[in-house]
Formats: sequence, C-alpha cells, structure tokens
Amino acid sequence: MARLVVRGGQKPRRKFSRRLMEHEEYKELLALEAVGALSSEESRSLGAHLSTCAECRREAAQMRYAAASLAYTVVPVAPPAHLRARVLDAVKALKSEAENVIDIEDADEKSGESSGTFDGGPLRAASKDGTWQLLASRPPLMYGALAAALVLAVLTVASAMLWNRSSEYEAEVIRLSEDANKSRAETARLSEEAERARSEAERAREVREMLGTPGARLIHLAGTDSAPGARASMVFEPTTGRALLLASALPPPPAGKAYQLWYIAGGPPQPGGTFTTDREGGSVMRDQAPAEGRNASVFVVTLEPAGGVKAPTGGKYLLGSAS
Amino acid sequence: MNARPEQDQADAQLLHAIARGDEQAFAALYDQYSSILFGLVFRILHTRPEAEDVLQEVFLQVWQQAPSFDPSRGRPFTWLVTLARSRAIDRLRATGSRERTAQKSGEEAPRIEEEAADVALLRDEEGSVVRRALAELSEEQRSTLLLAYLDGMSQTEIADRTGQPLGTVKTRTRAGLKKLHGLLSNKFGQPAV
Repeated sequence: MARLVVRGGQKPRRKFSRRLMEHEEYKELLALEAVGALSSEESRSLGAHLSTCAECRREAAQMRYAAASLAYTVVPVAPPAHLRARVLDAVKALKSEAENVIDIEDADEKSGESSGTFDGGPLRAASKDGTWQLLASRPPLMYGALAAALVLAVLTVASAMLWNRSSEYEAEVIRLSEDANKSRAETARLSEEAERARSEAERAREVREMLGTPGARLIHLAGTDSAPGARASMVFEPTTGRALLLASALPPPPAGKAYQLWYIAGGPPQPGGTFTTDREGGSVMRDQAPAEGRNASVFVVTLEPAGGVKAPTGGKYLLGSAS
Repeated sequence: MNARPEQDQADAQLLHAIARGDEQAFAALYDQYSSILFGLVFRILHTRPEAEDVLQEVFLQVWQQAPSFDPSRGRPFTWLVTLARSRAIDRLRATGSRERTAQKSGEEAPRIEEEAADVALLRDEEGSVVRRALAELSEEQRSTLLLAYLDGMSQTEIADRTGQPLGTVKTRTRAGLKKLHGLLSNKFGQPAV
C-alpha cells in the first residue's frame, strides 16, 4: 500500500495535497472572518482566495449570515427622530451633488461631440469639394490681365463712393469691436462659471470619497452670534486626521486676519488650518488635524491674525460637534 | 418561516430602488432597519452620541454602496448588519476606547442580552428563532462568538480574557458559528446564506 502511494505518482500527489491543505486552511479562516476576528493580512489573503474559490465563497456567505444573526441578540433601540431627518437631508445633499456631477459630465460629453463633428468629416469634406470646384472654374491665364484691369476700373469708380461712406464703416467697425469685447467678456464669464462648476463637482467627489472611508464623520457647524447666517459642513477622518471644511456666508475677514479651525478633544483646543473667504463668504479648506486633535468631538472656527496662532485669541464664528 | 424570503425580496427591491437614487425607498429601508441597527451599534459603542453618528454613516454608506449589493452573495439583512457592525467596530478602535468598553461589556452586556431574550421573542419570529438556536450552543461557544462579534475582540484577546488557549478559542468560534448556521438552516427549512 505504501509502495503504491510512493510509486503511484508521488509528485502530483504532493502537489495536490499542498493545494488542498491551502484550501482547507482558508476554510478554517471563514468563521473567524465572519466574526471580524482576522488580521488585515489574513483578510487580504483570504479575499484573494475567495475570488478564485466558489466553495469558500459559498461557505463564507453562510458564516456571515450566521454571524449577522447575532444582531438579534441585541435589544433594538429606536434612534431619535432628528437623526432620521439628518440622514435623509444628507442623502438629499449627496443626490443633488451627484446630479451636478452628471450634468457637468453630460455637458463635457456634448461639447466633445460637437467639436468632433466640427473638426471631423463633414465640414472638412465640404471645404475640400469647394476648393476643387473653384480650381476647375478658374479662367485661363490669358484672360487674367483683362479681368484684372476691369476689376481695377470698377474699384476706382467705387472708391469715390466708398470714400464718402468710410465714416459710416468706421462707426460700424467701432461698434463691431465693442461687440467683440462684450462677447469676449461673456466668454470669460461663462468659462469662469464652468470652472467653478467643475471645481464644485470635484469637491463633491472628494466629499463622497472621504465619507466612504471607514470612520469618517460628517459634522455640521453653525454660525455663532458673530455670524448668525454662516454655516459649514466638515468631513473628518479621525484615524488619519484628514479634514475638509466647506463654509458659506461667513463675513469676509478684514485685512491681516483669517479664520482658523480648532479641534477640541477635551483638553486645550488644537490648532487647525487657516482660511479666508471669497466675496460671498464661501470657503473650502483641506486640513490635517494635529495628532492631539484626532479624537476631537467639538470643532470651532475663530477669527485670528492671518497665518494662524497656537491658541485661540479671537471671537468664535462657527461651532459644531461630532455628536 | 415563509416570511423570510419575501422579506429578503422586498429588501432587495428597496436596495435596487436606492441604487437608482430613490429617496423614498431609502426612507422605507431606514424605517425598517434603523432600530435594530441602532441597537447593534449602541451595544458595540456603549455611547449614544457615537452610536447616532455611526448610524448616520452606515445609512450614508448604504445610499452610496447600494449599487454594489449583490443578492446572489447574501441577504440584504446580512449586508446591512455587516456594514453597521464593521463601522461601529472601526469607530470603537479609532476612538481607542475598546479596552474600556470591553471591560464595561463584561458587566453590562450579558444583562442587556438577558433582557433581550424576552423582547426578541416577542419582537418577531426570526429573532426568536435565532435566540432559540443560540440557546442550543454551549455557553463557551456563545460567549466566544459574542465577544468577537459585539465587542470586537481578537481571538488572542478572548484567549487572554477567558484564560483558554488560542486554539481552543478558534475552535469554539468555528464550531459555534457552524452549529448556529446549521440550526438556522434547519429551522428555516433551507440553506441559509
């Protein structure tokens, strides 16, 4: 019997058993994965195996199902009504941001299509045809001089009349040039608007991407008595300290001053980045919280000397808490 | 338990509608599951403000990831609970309060779960089936699963806490979860995924 095993192709057998053992090892991990007890390295390795092993995928689904049923051991607790409103509002905001992105992408596609047509076949072919027709109808060289003389005579007579109308033309030229300036300004305004829409869409993407990361929080900051109309939303990742603050309706800071964000985790406020606003009081600031500020649950914006300070000295303008 | 596949189908339809941007479907899903998910994240985090915060994140994640939900890979309920549980555990680890809550849960959690027995039995049929199935596991298997799933403890931490060898903890986790799955499959009269 032993001889049979050894002779009956020891090499393939060993290879097979090694593959089997790996598979069995992964199977052993499935229950641990379902209760969230694997290290990130084990999870990655198991994930790679699952992508190629239907049997383990099936069993992983079964184990996850059994683990999720443990949620039934917990007393259900109705969340407060204000949370429902907050969640539905946030979803509405995400939806309208997504629609903006789609609008802009549509516009890009359409302008791409039209410029494609313009640069491409039809117009180019027409102009080519036209050129050939023009060359074909050109008179022989011997008639050229006569034709030129005739044209010169006509032009001489006409020039007297034209001279009298030159002032009219001049006025027309001035008017046209003014129009051209206007449309240049209009073009600049439109491209500015497009740029603004594009950067808004980019920001919406950034917010979505940040909100999708584990542990990210969405914090709403309200204006204080110093700026009752002001408000801000902030996405904050406590694990990395990455923050994105979108403020609006803040009074533009006076010269030499800037707004500064503070992270408060119970101890002294930890300094965040500084920012100014646009004419409408809007601002977008990307920030990196100091290590001591990553557990922050309260976020404040004060008015400080431009360049920022280490501890707050100015009045509070925005205030929000993570809870 | 004929209601279960129907519920799954209704939930999958809601998720499908959410993937298309249907806010009403989203509100319906919130109304259906916010209490059980809030109970779960509250049980994991032990603080109401943190739990509220995490529940909001979970539902925003549902909105964003609904298009990636694949009914052939599991039930909507499993998907929702897995999302909520992993968000809450991430938060627990990020806030560095795991030790504190694990210690706390050692005293409070069993009490909460004990109370849950009656409530869950009354709450709905599926909950009561799960409770009965859990009761058929050994005490060691049950507590090992709950420490891992609801307290986010690693197998090593459970071994330290219970004074059992790591291998024993792993065996209990595997055997407990497999038995639970087998019991649920029998009670629902079909393979449970």
